[in-house]
Amino acid sequence: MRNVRLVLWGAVALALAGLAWLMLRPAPGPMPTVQSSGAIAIGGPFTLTGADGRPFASSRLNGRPAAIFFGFTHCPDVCPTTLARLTKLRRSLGKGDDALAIVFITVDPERDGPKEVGAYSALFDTPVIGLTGSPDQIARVKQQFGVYSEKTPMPAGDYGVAHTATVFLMDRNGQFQSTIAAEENDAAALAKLKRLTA
Amino acid sequence: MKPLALLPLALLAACSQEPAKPNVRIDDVWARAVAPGQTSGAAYMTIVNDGDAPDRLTRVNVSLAKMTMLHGTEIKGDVASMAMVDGVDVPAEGKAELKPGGTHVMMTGLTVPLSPGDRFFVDLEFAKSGKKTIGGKVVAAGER
Repeated sequence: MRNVRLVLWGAVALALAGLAWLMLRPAPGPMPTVQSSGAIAIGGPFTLTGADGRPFASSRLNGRPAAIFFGFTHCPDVCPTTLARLTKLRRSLGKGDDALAIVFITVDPERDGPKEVGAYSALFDTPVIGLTGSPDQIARVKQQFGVYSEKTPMPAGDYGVAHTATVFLMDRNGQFQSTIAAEENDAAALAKLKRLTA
Repeated sequence: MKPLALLPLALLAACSQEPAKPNVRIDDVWARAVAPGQTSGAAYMTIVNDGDAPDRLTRVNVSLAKMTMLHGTEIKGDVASMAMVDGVDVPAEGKAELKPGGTHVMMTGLTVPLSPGDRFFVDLEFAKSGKKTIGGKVVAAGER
């Protein structure tokens, strides 16, 4: 009987010690701050490298809206399909090539230099701005846009890249306005582009 | 009843006992042009089956590429990724579409660049219909 009491008191002591630890432990770090403006912070100024090998500052896009897509040049399906779609939508807008900048940013800077992004962008027979950068620069711009990418192994030592396939629509001042999702139909996408370029 | 009157019925019975067969044809084979130096590309097609049995595309080969695979593009959330698929089912009296953003023929190690207007051949192997070779056309990157 006495043993049972001892065990019970022991349990009480342990519980008290646990409670004390919970109350006295160091406070966790500051809570993540919530944007008070209500707007989601997507985008922001960046400097990358253009197809000509020279620095390309995002301020060069100021003055006209932009559709920004992240991909990689070894991507045979989603990336060219998305870029082809954007060029067709821009044509449907009927406001000329200057009404909307189409920007392709590689998430595979290890394989895609200025030459590669340049040749890839030139495929579409209409202006597409191809951008690359150092792995650090690309990591930073991906973070600014909340873009995910991860290399996925393929046979023969090759790799693909799983990546965010959303198109980001930025207004004339470089402010984020909306997105076009991969599954979104052309009519909805065109309506967004009309709003963007109004 | 005369024995002759039974003949149409007997024929009908014989017909219905014939095993169901797929009847596969391939339409609209195309590939998107690739940039100089770019070694991977995708080809698309529509597989039509007029037969009364399903079939399954199990292998593809494009001689212009070192490796050809059947690939599926998958979009989860907003992230696109590709994965190899074992085959593509072609339903009886139906069709299977290999199209942009979906299942496609993935070519890696292209030995020549694909330029608009170029022709190429795809070798296909079906579980029941066997091997078929079909010609395709390269279209400009922004065309489709």
